[in-house]
Amino acid sequence: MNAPPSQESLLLDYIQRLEKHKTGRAAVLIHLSRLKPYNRRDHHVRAAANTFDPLVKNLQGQLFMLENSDLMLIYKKDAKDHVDTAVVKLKFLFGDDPLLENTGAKAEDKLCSWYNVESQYDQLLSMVQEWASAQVGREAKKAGGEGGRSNLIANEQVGEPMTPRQLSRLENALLRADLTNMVRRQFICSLVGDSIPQEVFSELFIAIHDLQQTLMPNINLGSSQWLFQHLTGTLDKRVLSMLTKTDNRNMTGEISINLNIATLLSQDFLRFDDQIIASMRGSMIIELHWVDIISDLNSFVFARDFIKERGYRICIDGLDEYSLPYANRKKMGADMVKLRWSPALLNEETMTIDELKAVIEEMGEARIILCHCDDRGAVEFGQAVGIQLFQGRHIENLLAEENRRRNMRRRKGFRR
Amino acid sequence: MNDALPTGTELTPEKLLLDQVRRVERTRQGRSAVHLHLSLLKDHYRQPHHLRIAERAFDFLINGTDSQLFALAGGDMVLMSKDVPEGDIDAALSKVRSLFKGDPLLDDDAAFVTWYDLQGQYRDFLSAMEEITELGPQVAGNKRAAHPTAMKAMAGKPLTPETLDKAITVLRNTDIYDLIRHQAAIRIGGGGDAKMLFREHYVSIADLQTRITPGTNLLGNPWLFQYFTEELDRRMLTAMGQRDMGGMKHPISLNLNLSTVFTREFEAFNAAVGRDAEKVVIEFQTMDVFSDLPRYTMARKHLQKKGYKVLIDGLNPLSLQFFDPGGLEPDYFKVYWGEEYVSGASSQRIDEMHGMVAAMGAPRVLMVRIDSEDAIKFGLTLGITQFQGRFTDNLIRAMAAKMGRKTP
Repeated sequence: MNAPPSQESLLLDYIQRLEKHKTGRAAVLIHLSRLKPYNRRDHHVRAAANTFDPLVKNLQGQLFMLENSDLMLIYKKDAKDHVDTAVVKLKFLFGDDPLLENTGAKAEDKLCSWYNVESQYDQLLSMVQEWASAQVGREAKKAGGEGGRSNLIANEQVGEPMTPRQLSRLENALLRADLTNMVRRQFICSLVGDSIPQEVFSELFIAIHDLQQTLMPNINLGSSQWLFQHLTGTLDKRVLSMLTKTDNRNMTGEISINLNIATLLSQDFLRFDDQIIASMRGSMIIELHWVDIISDLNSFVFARDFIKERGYRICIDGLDEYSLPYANRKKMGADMVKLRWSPALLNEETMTIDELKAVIEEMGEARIILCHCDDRGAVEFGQAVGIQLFQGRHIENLLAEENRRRNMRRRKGFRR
Repeated sequence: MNDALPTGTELTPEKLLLDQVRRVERTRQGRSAVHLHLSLLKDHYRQPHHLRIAERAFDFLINGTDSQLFALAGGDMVLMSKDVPEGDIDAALSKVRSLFKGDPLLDDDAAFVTWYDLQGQYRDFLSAMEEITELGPQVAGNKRAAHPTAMKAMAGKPLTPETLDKAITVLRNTDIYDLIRHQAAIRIGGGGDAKMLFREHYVSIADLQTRITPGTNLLGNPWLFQYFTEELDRRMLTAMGQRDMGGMKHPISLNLNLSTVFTREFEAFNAAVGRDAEKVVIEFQTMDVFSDLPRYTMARKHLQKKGYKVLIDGLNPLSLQFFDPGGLEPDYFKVYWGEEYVSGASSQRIDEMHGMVAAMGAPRVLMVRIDSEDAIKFGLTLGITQFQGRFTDNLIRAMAAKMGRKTP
């Protein structure tokens, strides 16, 4: 499959073609990337880009949405007033961001950089060339991505937003698709200091990224939380039926699966529960998404009591630094919670380190898993605030490394 | 068990139950029966999936002993056993009790379950069973009509992605202006007088369904319905914009999704409202808020800066037990206190509720689903002064009528 051209490469193409028509044109680079992370999520960038819609529709300008969230607008100089108006709107939209504090008339404009295409053409061109080549590098690096559920929602992947009609088509395709090769397994490990990670249990999940690539390339399955949530209900049924197949090698040790509360209350789960051996229930952890829980607490309580009585354990998934303070593990009767790693934790954007430590202590240090640990820094941070359990690409790498070492020792004849 | 029964129209669980009762008339020794009055549970708990799971509690008796379970149409269940120790049956009942422990029915064990020793009480049992099986389906039917939950009251097949797509397409071309309903929220002053706080404007989903998707239950799938409301928001804002927003007599409130605040339709609405923004309350659902807290914070600050008031909707005593929403810093919290809390809450529960109100800040709390004066009295004892519901609507109407007479 050919990936669609990036905005950077389109911009480069556009600038190159502009060489002969640069008279009377100007450009403005809007540094959305300088805003706080919570102010530049997908919908913010979309809202910001929408501000320029009228200009683009009247053919007075061309807008590019860059990978780092910055916007680049090339426009005809007669439209300057309209551009100014749009920029004022933007500043209002992001008015609560520290970047836009002290914006008196004389203050430096930190949000926008203005260019005269005619006189600054070469500068613009080399700047855009640099972006385009850097973007190509990033694209190559990104190709190997992973993708569980909460990951997808948070990652806000590129692609067209999914419509209900596409969801319907996808669900029909899912009835026939073979999902067995899209099942992934990731370990939750205890990690103390620099010691070897100890496997505690493993999560089985369908790699949404692969599913998307296979069945709906160019469509962003996570564009609407609600449509995505519905889709996970369909996936639940497939996961349950896959797990009931006895020849499934992955059904060893303690495992966790993601399920919707509605699924737990459905015939499919009752059938699953009937078919698995009783001892299995004790080694299964059901991961329930925080938003699913909040959406219907009565059903959560009912389903929780039912599955606990059957012997399953419960983990609350989908918590981030914003929702963590609201989720009281003990009151909710969950065995574990998962907190998603984000550099924002380090920057103390929502909670100070001491506040976080207090929350973790209250939850129970052995009850909280820091997930999506992609690098060493995440683990170091977690350990510093008292977390003992970790999950993510970095942990998988450590495990793989450890396996390699063990095999090497074996080959060298160090067997007992 | 039920699963093993033929599903034909003739052999209903009711008939099979009566057959069995009559069959054991001569072999009553060692036989017992329990009748679980699950049809008396609140609608919320009487949904098919809840009842299916409750049936599971008896699995070990059905599979390991001489017992049969009959799940009747209204929700009631009858277990008939032979030579099964009372303790074993009680173990199964405990599981059912724990599932439904949130329901007031469980406060009174005699109302929840009736035990029969068939040796001595066969006649009582037989006549009780004759009564419930004859009336069973009918009683259940009436009950549902009398206490419709939103989900059940709405006829039709649950929304699917396909019917959602159609519903949205039709909605885009439908004027919903005449489907807008309102209900008054009031504030009770120190002297006991009621003042209008705002009028909530909302679209009646039942009416909307009749107009745009007869045969499809819009509320039948919560996630897809949530998606649908994003389009509905935009139609609502457009419809409200048709009104003369300037010089509103009373403040109003609107239910919106967080995402709607960042749309062009809201921008247009905002322009129409102009300086009257402070007379507009925007209501957000708890679930929507918690699904994206940073976005909520952004929307809240954005709205409050323009003068709007922000309200968090959909809280209830259960959610308040789980988390303290105080940190969300809206202008109002809407809390649903059911009738079961209003009448006969234990003193421990009342203490808990005092704590919840204090945590939110009493002036921010708005108690809703107010159907009676008693509910208002109950709220006042908790320090709440703001109310909304059928009763407040009547109150405002009565006040208006009185004022009308005074000022010719």
